Amino acid sequence: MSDDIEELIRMANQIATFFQAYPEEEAVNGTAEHIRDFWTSAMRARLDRYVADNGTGLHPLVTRAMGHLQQAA
Amino acid sequence: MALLVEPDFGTPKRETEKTVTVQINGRTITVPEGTSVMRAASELGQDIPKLCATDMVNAWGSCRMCLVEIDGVRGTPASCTTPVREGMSVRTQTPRLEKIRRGVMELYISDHPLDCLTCAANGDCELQDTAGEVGLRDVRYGFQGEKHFAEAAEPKDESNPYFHFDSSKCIVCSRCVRACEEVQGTFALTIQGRGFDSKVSAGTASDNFFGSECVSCGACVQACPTATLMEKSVYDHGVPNRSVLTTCAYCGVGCSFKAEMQGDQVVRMVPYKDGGANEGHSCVKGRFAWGYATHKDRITTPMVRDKITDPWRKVSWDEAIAFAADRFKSIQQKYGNGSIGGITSSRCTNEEVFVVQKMIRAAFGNNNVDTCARVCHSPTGYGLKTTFGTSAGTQNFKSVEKADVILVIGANPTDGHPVFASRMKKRLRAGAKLIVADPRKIDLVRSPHVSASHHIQLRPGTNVALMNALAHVVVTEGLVDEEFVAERCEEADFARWRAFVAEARNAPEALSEKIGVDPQTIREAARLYATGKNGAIYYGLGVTEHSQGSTMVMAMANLAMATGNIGREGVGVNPLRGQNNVQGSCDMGSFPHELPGYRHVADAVARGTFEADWDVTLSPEPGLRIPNMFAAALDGSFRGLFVQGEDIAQSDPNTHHVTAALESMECIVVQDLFLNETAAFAQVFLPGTSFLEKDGTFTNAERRINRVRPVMTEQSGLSEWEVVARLSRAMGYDMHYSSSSEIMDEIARLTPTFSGVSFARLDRDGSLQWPVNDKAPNGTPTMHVAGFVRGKGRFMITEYVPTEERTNRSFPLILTTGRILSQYNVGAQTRRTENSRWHETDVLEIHPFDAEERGIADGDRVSIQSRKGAVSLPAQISERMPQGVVYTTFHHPVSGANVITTEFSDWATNCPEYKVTAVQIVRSNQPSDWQVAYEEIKRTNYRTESEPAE
Ligand code: SF4
Ligand code: SF4
Ligand code: SF4
Ligand code: FES
Repeated sequence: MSDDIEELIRMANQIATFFQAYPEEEAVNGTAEHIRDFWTSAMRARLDRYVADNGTGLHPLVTRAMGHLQQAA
Repeated sequence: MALLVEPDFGTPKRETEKTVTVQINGRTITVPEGTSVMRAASELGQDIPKLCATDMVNAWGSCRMCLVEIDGVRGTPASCTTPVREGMSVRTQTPRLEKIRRGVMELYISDHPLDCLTCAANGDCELQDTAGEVGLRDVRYGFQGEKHFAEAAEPKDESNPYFHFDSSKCIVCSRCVRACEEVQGTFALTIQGRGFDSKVSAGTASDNFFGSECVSCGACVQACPTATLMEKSVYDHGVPNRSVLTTCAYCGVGCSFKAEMQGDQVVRMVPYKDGGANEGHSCVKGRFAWGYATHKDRITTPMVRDKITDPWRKVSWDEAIAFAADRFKSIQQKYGNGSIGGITSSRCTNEEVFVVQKMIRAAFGNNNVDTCARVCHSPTGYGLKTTFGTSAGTQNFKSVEKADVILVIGANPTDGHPVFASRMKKRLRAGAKLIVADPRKIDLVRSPHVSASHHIQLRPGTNVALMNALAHVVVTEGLVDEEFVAERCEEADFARWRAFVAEARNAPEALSEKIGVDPQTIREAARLYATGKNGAIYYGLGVTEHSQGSTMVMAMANLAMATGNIGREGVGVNPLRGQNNVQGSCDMGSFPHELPGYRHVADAVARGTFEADWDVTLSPEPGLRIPNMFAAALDGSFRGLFVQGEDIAQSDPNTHHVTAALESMECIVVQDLFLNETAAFAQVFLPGTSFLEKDGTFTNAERRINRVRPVMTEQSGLSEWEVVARLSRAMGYDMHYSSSSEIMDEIARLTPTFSGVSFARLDRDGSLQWPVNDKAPNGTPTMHVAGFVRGKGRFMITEYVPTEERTNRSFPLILTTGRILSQYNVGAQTRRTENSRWHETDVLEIHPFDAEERGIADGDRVSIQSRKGAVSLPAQISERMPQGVVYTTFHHPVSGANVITTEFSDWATNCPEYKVTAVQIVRSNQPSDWQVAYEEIKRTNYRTESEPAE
């Protein structure tokens, strides 16, 4: 695992940790919207690939949020 | 403009609706109740001679120069201490008064040196003027006063680097003493002795100014009617003869100044009474530390080099711009459009920042623009926008005069925002209550005549826990302003929040161990804030620079809404911004996801407006933030960077990571005054302009747009915006402006909150607080008055999440960082002034117990080690720190504070967690490896061709 994906995992998990205080659907949306609004497409694509690979270490909300974003795309 | 002499009405303006009508010399005037006779006369244009009165301080009534006659009143009362009464009839000039005044003047002059022609104040001396006004022709007492004899006079106190104190000229009017007390709030001066023997003294008899409590704000110098307290620059150059109104370029207070000039030489900077932010006050930085602008280290010729270890080559502007554009274009050809970007600076004007982000979006064709606010107040923008709807503070500074309870969190205003601190202290001395939440015992906790009701000395990193505990008390003890919340806030969000904070796990008792403060203190503080009428929150980087920075901003907004402390004077949630134009640089679209005016790049309507105006297609994709840029540089996808007036190599966290990223890039262009730390990694240096050369605007922490006006021509021959426009053209996008005022017109055209702003308006009105538009043509001093900008206020759930940076046996202490009064940020400017005399080196403050445990004595050199790196600094043993927490500043590059800070950052904005680093401290008598390497880089990466090779 390279450094940069670790950084992205940490950032994504931190975002999910904020939103997990909300009911699940809202939390997924909140996480997804945050990643969509603030991350570059390259960063999102990198995390998408990681989710597709195995997604270990990701907060479950992040995994769901990424799925959500892919559907919307 | 000729020299601007502001009227002195003798006594301060009274602010009350009630008025009184009086007759002065047969003319009628109506003034607010409590106004002095002196001021009323002055407002009529009938000045009364005075010596001990000036309108920056309350009257004292000692000189007896201002006597008047009042019908029905016996004797000749002093007009400065006599308030007007309804129907009063006053005469200011009669033979009797003339005689008395002349007599008084004779007494003064009999004990005053008569060297007027060679005196530094010649032409700027109220004693001289008043002698003229009263028609002094003769001194019957002779000139035998002891001050006439040089040998009897005490030597001048020249210890302060910026002003001298020559007691032989002192008339003991006490204006200086009152200025220090009432305006500055430092209480450094006293009058010692009585009668003819009385004299002004800075502290004890053995103290000089430099060694005293004096913080060199200059208020006493301004107040002094004679040459006793006088700027050394006036002594050296003579009195100025023209003024230019401008704005301080240091902190986010944004003080207005008169630059007083002779030709194009600044003689002194004097705070401007009509300045909305400062109302005539200043601090040592703005008042005195402007010499860096003409410092010999300034680079005024463009320079380029192929490799960062090559010596710099001085070139023409055309060559430098072509060099930068060629490199940027070839990087983009090889690595794609997104492989370059830029960083804007909060030290530059709105106009300069606007053109840089425009160049990046339009000429580079991507949104890879970020700003140094990333590392300071980005959570403010996020948090306040989410809860209230605007990325800005809610009040003007004047609002503090109406506050009843002031909650200061993670800010050290007396050092970081001194002029605002003086305004706040004035209100505190008048009776407002103070709560300070800070790990460190900052000066405000206890200073002359100010004492905090509660000092919540919380553990670094537990801000959100504290806010939740305070909110718990508000919610469970029935202190919610139900009416406000019902009317103004989203109902469902509030209900959810109320249930969340009411949970037992958010009670002070449950959280007190984590916070490190006893629950009773938290309960009392919460009650005080919620029930003390107007509660105002002021905060700084101690709030934002945490992994939960944005959560904390929202938590404060929640608390303010729950208690109804929003939407009127005296309340609010107020960020104290670090740099002068942090607010402005954010407003101007410096974030990678936002166009000017905080509109998301994906918002097709907003983007369309810019596309139509700029005639270009813009990317709807958010660009890279600064930390993402570094990561992308290291993975090879980001190769070129334009850095406007910022020193990322010094100011950004985890120096090793940052320098590795900078080294890996192919072209870094630095636009700055000095060869800063980042320039060591640059291939192109474009000389910038100091604030004395800039024409534009700064926006301060209260959203106040102030004009910055040039007092001299650009040392480098070009304005910064012109350089950016040329680079943009060389990159293939046609950008043209004939003046910076044209840039502001474009900003106003494209940014709804600025639609009413223009240089002409600012020149007419002095300053304007945005939003300035059809709804608020004269600006908006207080936000969210009738409703929130987002409609209804939104409560957010703010779960406390401890930082991942933890102490353990290897790193048992927490390091937190801050700043001090005399230095500014990375110190590039202040280190190049006499201010360095107050702070020659950064030190590590450590609690006596922690020091003793490690065998550390005061002044010992210690090594500070974190998981990221180590630096060494002298230790200062200090009771200000709680046990387990150490503290340093980062004003000197060699200190390398960021060598030890970590990569952790705020979850929402990536604002770095500067305020919490786990460290170990050990004695050491050597510089760290990084410090040795740093000295080496100084030798290799800063050479220019004209210098002999080493
Ligand atoms: S410079 Fe400011 S702090 Fe110092 S004595 Fe004068 S008023 Fe007081
Ligand atoms: S130093 Fe100046 S202001 Fe102070 S008492 Fe003397 S004359 Fe007045
Ligand atoms: S308070 Fe800030 S803006 Fe005002 S003079 Fe000092 S540094 Fe400048
Ligand atoms: S000016 Fe009124 S007593 Fe001095």
